[in-house]
Amino acid sequence: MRRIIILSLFIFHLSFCLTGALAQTGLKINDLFQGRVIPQERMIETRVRGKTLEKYRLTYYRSLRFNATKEETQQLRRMVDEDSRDRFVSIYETNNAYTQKVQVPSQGEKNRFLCYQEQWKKTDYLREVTIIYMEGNVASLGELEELLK
Amino acid sequence: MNDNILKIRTLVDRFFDGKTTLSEEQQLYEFFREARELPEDLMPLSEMFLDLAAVQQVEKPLPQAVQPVRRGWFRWAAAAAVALLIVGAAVTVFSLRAQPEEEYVAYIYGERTTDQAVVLDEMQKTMTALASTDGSDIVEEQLKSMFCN
Repeated sequence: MRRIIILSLFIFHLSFCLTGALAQTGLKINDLFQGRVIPQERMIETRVRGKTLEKYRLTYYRSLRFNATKEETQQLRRMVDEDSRDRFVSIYETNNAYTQKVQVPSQGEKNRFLCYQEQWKKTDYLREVTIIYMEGNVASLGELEELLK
Repeated sequence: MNDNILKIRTLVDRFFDGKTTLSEEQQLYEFFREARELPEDLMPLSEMFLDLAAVQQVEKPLPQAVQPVRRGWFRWAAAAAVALLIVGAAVTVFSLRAQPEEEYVAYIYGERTTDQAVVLDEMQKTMTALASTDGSDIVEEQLKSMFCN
């Protein structure tokens, strides 16, 4: 009987994992996408799925764009860093922008990518943040960058 | 007392004839166990009845020291686990089926829009911002910041 319960719980957990595979769950940055860090009223969220993405060899695209304080961006960077741990990360930093791109662990046959960008001016108190989560058949970050050009 | 002895003698006769009931046998055992003085004719039988009484005591089922643990809750837990499993599986299947092939949704500062043109325009903006941060742009940016200030 105990075996049945353990097996049932395992399968139940597995079913939740499969449900999670539908989006960016399993990532720290998911808290942001769920509106737990920045309220939805402060951001522009875009979700696209379908033929439009075929030219980029993507199947799902989700982005968030908003203005954030320095403290908020620090928290966001920590989350992105957490998701980038032990992964190959591409970082570009200039005087007025910071961009971090990472291929996060795949789920099933779908490769997943996370891009984070901050832009600011010296006079600005707030920074403009853009976060993009993508899923698709693109093999690597380099290939994705080429397709986006 | 004499009546009692008489009764015992009758019972002894019935015992040897194999006609005593269990209750009558109990009376005999009890009598021989408790008797301090016995009539002479009954004395040789004392040892035998005491032995039979002892054997009968051993054969009696001992009171169960440990009651079997009631396992009703275990069955309920198993049933609950199976129910959860079914619900989990149903949710998974429903979610997988409910996933649209085409999705164009944007939340602009909390307001939902499914206008494809608006959604794609927003997607294009974020993608352009992302694509414009490749290495060549950084070099250009750095050169500008070094020489054009």
